[in-house]
Amino acid sequence: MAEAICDDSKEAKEKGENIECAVCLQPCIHPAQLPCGHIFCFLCVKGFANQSKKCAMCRQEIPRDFIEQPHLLHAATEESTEFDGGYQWFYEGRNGWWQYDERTSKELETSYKSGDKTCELLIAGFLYIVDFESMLQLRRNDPSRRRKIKRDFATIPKKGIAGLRTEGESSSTDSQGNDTRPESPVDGRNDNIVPITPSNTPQSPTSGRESPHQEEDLQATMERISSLRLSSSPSRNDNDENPPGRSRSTRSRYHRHRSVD
Amino acid sequence: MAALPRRIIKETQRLMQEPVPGISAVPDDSNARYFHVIVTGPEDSPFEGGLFKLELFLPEDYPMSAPKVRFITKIYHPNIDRLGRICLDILKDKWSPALQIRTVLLSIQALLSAPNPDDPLANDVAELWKVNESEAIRNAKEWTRRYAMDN
Repeated sequence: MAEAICDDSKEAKEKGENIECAVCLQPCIHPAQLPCGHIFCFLCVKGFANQSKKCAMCRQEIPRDFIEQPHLLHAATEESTEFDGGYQWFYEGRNGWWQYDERTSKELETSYKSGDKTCELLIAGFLYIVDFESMLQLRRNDPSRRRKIKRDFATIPKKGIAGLRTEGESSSTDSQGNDTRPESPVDGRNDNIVPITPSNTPQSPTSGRESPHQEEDLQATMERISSLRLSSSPSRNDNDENPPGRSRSTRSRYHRHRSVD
Repeated sequence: MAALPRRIIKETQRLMQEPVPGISAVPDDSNARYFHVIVTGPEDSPFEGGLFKLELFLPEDYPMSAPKVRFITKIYHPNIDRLGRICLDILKDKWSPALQIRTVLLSIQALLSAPNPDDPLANDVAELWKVNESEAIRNAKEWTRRYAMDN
């Protein structure tokens, strides 16, 4: 974090927290301001900086070093909610552990407490699968990109949160979604075998999965959405003689959850 | 089914709470990433009075990549081919993750008001639109009447 430019004033803090990020449509987490003035979550900027290299609002170019040296409205702090009175979620980076951002942590905790074997995460534009049995995070379209993860005490030594350093070192960032570069001899993309040492998993309390989870229930939200549906649901045009203009494989993936087709 | 990203949940809620005039987009019962869409033909266009069905799909990495959108109702338009595929920059290289389902559908509706035969997807339609615009518009009106009304 030593390299990030921060404005720790109260106004800046309130500004960032009240802003809805135009990419995730949630209150900004670690709000970052581009030179054009537009503000997004740091990880959302990272997502589109990796792709178009332009501001999502005005298409002004993003400086090449912005992700390494972001302009944050306030410093990354450790204000995240702790689970079961002191636990947090971490991913392994170069030479140490990083805490996930608060929103991802909550998703991990919710899924973990529900007893899921895996959980999908969208981080900085990439879809990841978290496997709770092996405690690994794998990129969905390239499982060779993997990281160890763990649920551990919030107080363990860590490099920072979501790629933003909280310890004093000045070095490049190491974001949870950024696994495009090999980071260490044992964490590179060609290293498909990650040894699972016992020290990886038992840090979680055995009672972990029994605790009630208080997170927002996605199922309830989905039910609310479906209750908001318009009454008339248009059926597909049966006379349409043309198949959709997509490849078969893509199409079957798109429609895998549809019951009729 | 994997949990739906919060952004998709939020967009869906807002589409239901504050619908766009002239546009309806409803998620499929069994796939919340697949939307059944109806766009009304804009006033003072050859598509006026028509109700056009489209399908819209949000890919896995949405919003980092654009929704896939296709006309289901047949339409006579230089930038829409016979499979319903749409030639629109924001669905391709000009996509931005700050765009939404709502803005995409508004852009498609605007495309109906402003056909661009110089960037064609349906070559025969675009050709006629350039050499004989009034006949092309007559065709568009006829197709609208035949395929986009009373069904």
